[in-house]
Amino acid sequence: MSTLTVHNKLHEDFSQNSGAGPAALRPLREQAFARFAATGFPTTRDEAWRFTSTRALTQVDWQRADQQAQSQLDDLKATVAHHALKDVAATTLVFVNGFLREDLSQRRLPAGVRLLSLADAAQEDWFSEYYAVADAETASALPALNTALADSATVLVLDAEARLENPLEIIHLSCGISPHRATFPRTMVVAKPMAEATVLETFIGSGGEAYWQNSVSQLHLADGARVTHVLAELATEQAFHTHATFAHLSRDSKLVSENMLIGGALARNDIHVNLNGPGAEAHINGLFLGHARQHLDNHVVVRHNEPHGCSFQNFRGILDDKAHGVFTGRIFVAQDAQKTDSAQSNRNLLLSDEARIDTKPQLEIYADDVKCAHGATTGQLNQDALFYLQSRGMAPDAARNFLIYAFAHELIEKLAIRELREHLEAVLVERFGQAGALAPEA
Amino acid sequence: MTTTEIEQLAKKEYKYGFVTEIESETFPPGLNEDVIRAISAKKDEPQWLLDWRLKAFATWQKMEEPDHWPQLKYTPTPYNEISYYSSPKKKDGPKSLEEVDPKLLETYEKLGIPLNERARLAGVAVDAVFDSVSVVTTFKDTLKKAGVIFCPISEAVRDYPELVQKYLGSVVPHSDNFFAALNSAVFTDGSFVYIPKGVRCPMELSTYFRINEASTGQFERTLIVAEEASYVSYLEGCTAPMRDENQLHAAVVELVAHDDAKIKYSTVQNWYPGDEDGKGGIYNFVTKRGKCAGRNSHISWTQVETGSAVTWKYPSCILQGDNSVGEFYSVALTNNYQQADTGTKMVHIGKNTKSTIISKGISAGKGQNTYRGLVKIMKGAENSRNYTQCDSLLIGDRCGAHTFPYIDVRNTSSTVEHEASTSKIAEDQLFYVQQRGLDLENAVSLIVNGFCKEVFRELPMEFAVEATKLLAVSLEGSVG
Repeated sequence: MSTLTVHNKLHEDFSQNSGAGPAALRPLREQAFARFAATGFPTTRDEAWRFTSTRALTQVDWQRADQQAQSQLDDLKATVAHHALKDVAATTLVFVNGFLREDLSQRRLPAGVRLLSLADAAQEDWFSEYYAVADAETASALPALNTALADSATVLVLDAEARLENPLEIIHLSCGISPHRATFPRTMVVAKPMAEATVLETFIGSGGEAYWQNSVSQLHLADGARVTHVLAELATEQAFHTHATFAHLSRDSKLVSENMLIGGALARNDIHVNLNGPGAEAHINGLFLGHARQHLDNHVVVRHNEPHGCSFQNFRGILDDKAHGVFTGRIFVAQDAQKTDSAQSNRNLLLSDEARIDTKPQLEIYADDVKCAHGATTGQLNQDALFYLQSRGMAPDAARNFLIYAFAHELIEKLAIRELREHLEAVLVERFGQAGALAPEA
Repeated sequence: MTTTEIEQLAKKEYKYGFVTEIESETFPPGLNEDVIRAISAKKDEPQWLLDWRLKAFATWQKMEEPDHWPQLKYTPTPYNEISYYSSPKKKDGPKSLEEVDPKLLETYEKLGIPLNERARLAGVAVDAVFDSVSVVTTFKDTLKKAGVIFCPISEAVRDYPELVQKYLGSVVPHSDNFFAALNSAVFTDGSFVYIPKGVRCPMELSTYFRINEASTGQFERTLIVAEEASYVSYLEGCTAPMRDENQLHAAVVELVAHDDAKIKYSTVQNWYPGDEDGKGGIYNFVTKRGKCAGRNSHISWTQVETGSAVTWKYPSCILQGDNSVGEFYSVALTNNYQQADTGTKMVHIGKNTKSTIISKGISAGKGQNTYRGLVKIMKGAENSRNYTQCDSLLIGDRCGAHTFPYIDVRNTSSTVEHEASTSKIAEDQLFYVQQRGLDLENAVSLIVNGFCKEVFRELPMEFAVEATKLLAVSLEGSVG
């Protein structure tokens, strides 16, 4: 394949290291790499990647990032401290270039949760069923590449009926001086029946070079489990980040997935949610804030395979300068998934004539007793609202800022983690605020 | 109500399924350059048109059938096993109605097309296309007085070559897509309409298409040009006999509206949909596109799609002129094993352009109904506005309704809205209507008609009545 001739280093890496790691994984990895080798990077000819070109990504001979990051420990600590939650996190796990760094992490695990290494997890009876299932779910081979090359993973097992008050935080940091470094972070959350937890994944990078993070998160919710998964994509603006979340929901379980696409020259977030048990419930929300030449792509697929399920998607985008935003949301309702209640909404705000948005909300319905709706709007700030605020004595800039803030805030205010809300508000001010504060003094 | 009861409702026979025994001249099956030359020679075409056909054929050979992206499953047409030309046998074109084969007239009578004097009452000028050839055009003289040209496209090539050469392929280029390329290479007839500057066409124009011969494809081509400040309303209807094989219908329709012109194009498509087991039926692969070339121009598509085994059709508007308006109103019904992948494209190029899309999909039986649409707002299309509404109604638990809109916005002053919903007929509505004394069949029919009202009211009166009836017929036996 033409794409692979460029990716010699990944190829070499795979042939040298495929023997490493737990034996149970070997066939999975070989299969996954073969798939990537056969399929290569997705192109705009693939329907799911129609608006997102991976050309820039394919032109680099990516090399797996160094385990020994060259950066000084103090610098790393400062970077991590800047992004880590200050006091609410129950546990903070910090991965630098794909490897867990004990010296940066806070590993006091609360009761009811176990952290397994990939090798330990491979011994569990559910492992082989769960681990590779992700690769088959997308047309793209990028999750398969992650399976082939991820040689460590964060596996969190929530015991039955465990209830965690505070979020579990995972920080994936890419650092180093190589401009071709790629990392393959992998997270698995296995929630046993009636377990309840919040997992926050933050993706960050340091330095001014381009780097690539190709990550996969898997969420397996047993009957009655409740998991909140928060993805904060805060990569540097030179970076490429391709992520895929795969969630499997059993009977009466509930998933809340919050997705923030903020950083990256190119960020692509795939979210695949499968409602495999009756009465499962999924809330999938997203906010993407693009400026400069950023390309931010959200791709959501919700499959209702069983009756009485409900799912709600709410995505909002604000795009300025030459940013390009993409939203694709698909609701699939199988023939047996009667009484499904599903809704999807995508609203976008364009602040510049150079900005662009492609939105593709889709319904694919094979059952008749369902309630499904979707809506999408794209527009600018409401002139009437601007006029109204000005007539009440607000300066034009302040009125504009106020409305942008309000547009994003409907999503931000739903976030349970206060520090994250504050961070997003800061980004809003920095990116879109004109002449002073974005929000009026509280 | 029970599913079986409802299913009883939706089974009514296709009443246009007869075959007319008429002697016809049909080319042997197969497609190559010689066939194209023969079609061209048959029609006495000028060299430029033959060259254009051959160019299209060369392009088509390099193209692949778009079978991967539409939400459709069908066996592709064996392009080398069908005939590309079939015409009722005759020596010269008929000069008047008396010269038309009485059997043909009978056929149109059965189809309810007012070809002769009754047409005057209906006030509709009709161009009827039988298999590949246009048989007769009524009201030619009345139209001539107004300066309107309405004739078979083969005649237009002969009589108005400059006009045809200028506009043919200007909206749908010969290389546009697989089916359009095939049509450009082998099209046999169709209608040509030219409305001169400032003329409001005195009557509604109408074309009826009929496939009669077995193992043929129908490839008609319609070209409508509306000059400055003119207006025309054009209707199109189609039927075909019942056969076990799948017959191909690949048409191209091009509309050009200049400054302040308005074109209203209505279709009631009732090709044979195949039987209850999904056997036979027409493949309806049609490219329809209108160009709002001038300022304040207006193109409106209205379609009622109840026939065809497979429909692949996206009537589109290119809104090039400033302040131009594009509209798309559609009712698509799929019953039994019918499949439809239909929708529209609205490409906003000019400033202050507006488009409205209202799509109503109804799925019954094992039908699959897909709305696929594109709204594209280019950077220069300042202050553009789009409103899209796609509603789907599911009748029965073995059918599917899908919505795939594409929305691409590239400036800040435009507003795009898309809304879609999918549901079944609400039990409480059915109960209420039945409780008022209507039986189940009429209750469903009433509700379905209410669901489609926004589209039906866009149709000319006679068509609206026909469409309402057609819907009731197509739904019979499927309601559930």
